[in-house]
Amino acid sequence: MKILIFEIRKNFLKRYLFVTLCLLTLINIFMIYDYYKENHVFSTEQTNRSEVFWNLYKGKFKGKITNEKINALMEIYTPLYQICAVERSYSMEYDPETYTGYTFGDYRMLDLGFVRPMEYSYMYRNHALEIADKAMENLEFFRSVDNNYQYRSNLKIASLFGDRQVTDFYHTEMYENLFRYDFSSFLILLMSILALVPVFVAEKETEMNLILSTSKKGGKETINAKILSSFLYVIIISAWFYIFDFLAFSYFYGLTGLNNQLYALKDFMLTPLNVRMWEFIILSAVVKIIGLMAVSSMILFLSSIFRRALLPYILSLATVFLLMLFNEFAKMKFINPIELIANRELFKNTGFIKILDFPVHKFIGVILSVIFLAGAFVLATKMTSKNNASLGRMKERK
Amino acid sequence: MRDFLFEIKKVFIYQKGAWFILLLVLLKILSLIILDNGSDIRLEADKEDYLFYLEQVKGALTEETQSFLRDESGKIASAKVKLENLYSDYYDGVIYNQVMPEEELDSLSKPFEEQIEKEKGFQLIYDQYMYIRENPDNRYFLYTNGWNALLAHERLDLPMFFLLLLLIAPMFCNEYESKMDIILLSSKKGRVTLVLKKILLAFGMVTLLSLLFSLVEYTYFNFRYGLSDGDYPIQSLEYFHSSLKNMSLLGAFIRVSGYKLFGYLCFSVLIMFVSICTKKTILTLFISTSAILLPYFGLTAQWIQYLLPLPLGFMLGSGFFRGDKITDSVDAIEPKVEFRAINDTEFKIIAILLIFIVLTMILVMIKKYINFQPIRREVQFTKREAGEKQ
Repeated sequence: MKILIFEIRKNFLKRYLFVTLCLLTLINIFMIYDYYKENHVFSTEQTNRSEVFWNLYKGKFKGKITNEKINALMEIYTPLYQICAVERSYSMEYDPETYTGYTFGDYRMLDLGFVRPMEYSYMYRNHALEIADKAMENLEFFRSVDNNYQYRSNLKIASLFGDRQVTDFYHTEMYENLFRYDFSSFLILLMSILALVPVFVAEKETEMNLILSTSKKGGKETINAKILSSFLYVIIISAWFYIFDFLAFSYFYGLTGLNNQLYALKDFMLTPLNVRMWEFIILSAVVKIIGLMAVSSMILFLSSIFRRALLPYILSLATVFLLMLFNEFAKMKFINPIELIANRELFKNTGFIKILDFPVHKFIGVILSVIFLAGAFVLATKMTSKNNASLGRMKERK
Repeated sequence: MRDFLFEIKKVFIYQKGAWFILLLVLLKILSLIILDNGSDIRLEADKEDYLFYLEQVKGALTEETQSFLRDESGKIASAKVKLENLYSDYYDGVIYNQVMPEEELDSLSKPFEEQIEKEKGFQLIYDQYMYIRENPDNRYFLYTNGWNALLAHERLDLPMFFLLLLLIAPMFCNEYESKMDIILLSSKKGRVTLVLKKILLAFGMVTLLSLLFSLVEYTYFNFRYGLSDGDYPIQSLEYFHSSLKNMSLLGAFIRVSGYKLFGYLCFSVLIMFVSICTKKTILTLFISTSAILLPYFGLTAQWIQYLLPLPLGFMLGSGFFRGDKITDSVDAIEPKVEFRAINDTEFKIIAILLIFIVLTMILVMIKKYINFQPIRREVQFTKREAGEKQ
């Protein structure tokens, strides 16, 4: 335990790491602001459109979808729809009678902010039921042809989609954008490379590895402590960045509806998860951290095989780029940690893989394969550093 | 001169620079082959027919080419109708027992079928015609795949990026880490001359490598697709459709290469500057890579990276010649600016600012390299002295 604290102090409690962390946090918030400037419809800023939207949202339509609310919405929307979309005879003049100042502005605001999302939420139940019904129909067929795997996967789909419904209406813009934002993970990767490359290299550069290998706890214990402390570092840094992501996105887009269902987002219409927004935010962060730890184990491995910082740094960065490239182009999605780090694709669709005739969720398969990869690299790191240590001893004897 | 040779030997042999260059040039060629996504697959699939039509309309849009295209389009349409009629006649004949001999059908239908076979190639030319018609003054007919692959992207050249880090970062960092800097400083030519020589060597390497990489790109795409008609205006490529710059394709490529060279030179100064300031390889690598990668990956509004006084914009190059790009989608309330053109004044300001920054960095760097050590000792000494006096 003590050795772990020493390792943490030696490798991670450095001034430049703190300075970098603060700078990158600021950069991250700036980039979120930049992202938000480019991708927002209704902001928390005091623009005419947004103000009207939030007033209507908070005052009238938020929460449980009821017939009164739908009727109230349709009452103001239908005439605008008639003018703007059917007859196309709206006036371009400023009109103080309207919400936003212009008839067409009102129509777009209501259409994008209320009508379309509310319609989606309201219709989602039918959509999910349709999928469940199809799966139920398939059950009969696959039982008759004795295909156990397909029978079981359809049973799973039927139970997943059978009782899905979105009863409440919440504004989802923040979640849509939060789940698309990946830059903070890139920053975490950069910080991991910065801090983890020296973990083994620094001992060799200062030639401490020879002395370490002669000491009582200098072998296995030190290596274990190094690996463990590195993982702790990655977890803490990631948690720090993801918390800031959440805070910044809530601040810019406006936080509402944390308890909403994940499938209330159009992107996640077919998600295999029956979770709420806040649950998915945590789950997604955990999955991302697993991916980041897998990349970290690769960095540690590179650190353990080289004697100087130059090559492991460049190779770590190159590895990250290569993994990103594979994620974009290659069909094979398993094993690649980037798949977990940018995980929305993973949770967008329900898919199964076949293990011993049982359907297992695809995302579980991907997560397990990445954990397996990380384990392999940790093991390799241990082996190489052990070899280095014994080599050092041999050289010393000579 | 001799110590210059030693410096070269150190970089290329002891720091394995020669191997890195060889490896990364190979990687560059490999990446060109694998990641070649500038090309339009349809052009390659129907290349023969496409080139057949292109030969006849190549260059600026004239009355002749316009009427040719209209005629050809009419011919294909009528061939389709006639072929259909022919077949329906044939099948009618089958039903009424007056069978047309198969040979006769073949000979009658053959010219129409030949005409229709070329339709896909013609469609490609016609699409190009629709684009050119919007602004026939500076949009010419040409085979676009080669030039698109060469110019129409703003990708960071990662092999070059890594190669510069591998070559430049150890130049000073290795001296610091092996504590040679103190010995060098005490030697006769180890001060200003040495720094200048190192900088000169770095500049020489960067220049040669940058030109080599541009040449590799040009040669590869020339070999793969062909890069003819370099004198046509850049607006002939859809990527530069709204560009206000008045230049040819080849001119644009030469300028992009020049900008890249300038960007890489600035980047190498940045690396050397950071390595002298921090004296640590890991920090040097981190700071210089972050200065490039953070704006490259982070900025949602891509054009802003050309407005920052950083080497990045010049390392990308092409964006300086692009025009505005504004898209309007059904789901957005306002039209979205995807790219805003960089005008000449902005370009000049950025370039001058960057040159100023780089010169300052070189001056600070030289000063720091020579002076740093003695000053610190002096300060320590006076402090101790002060303590004793108290």
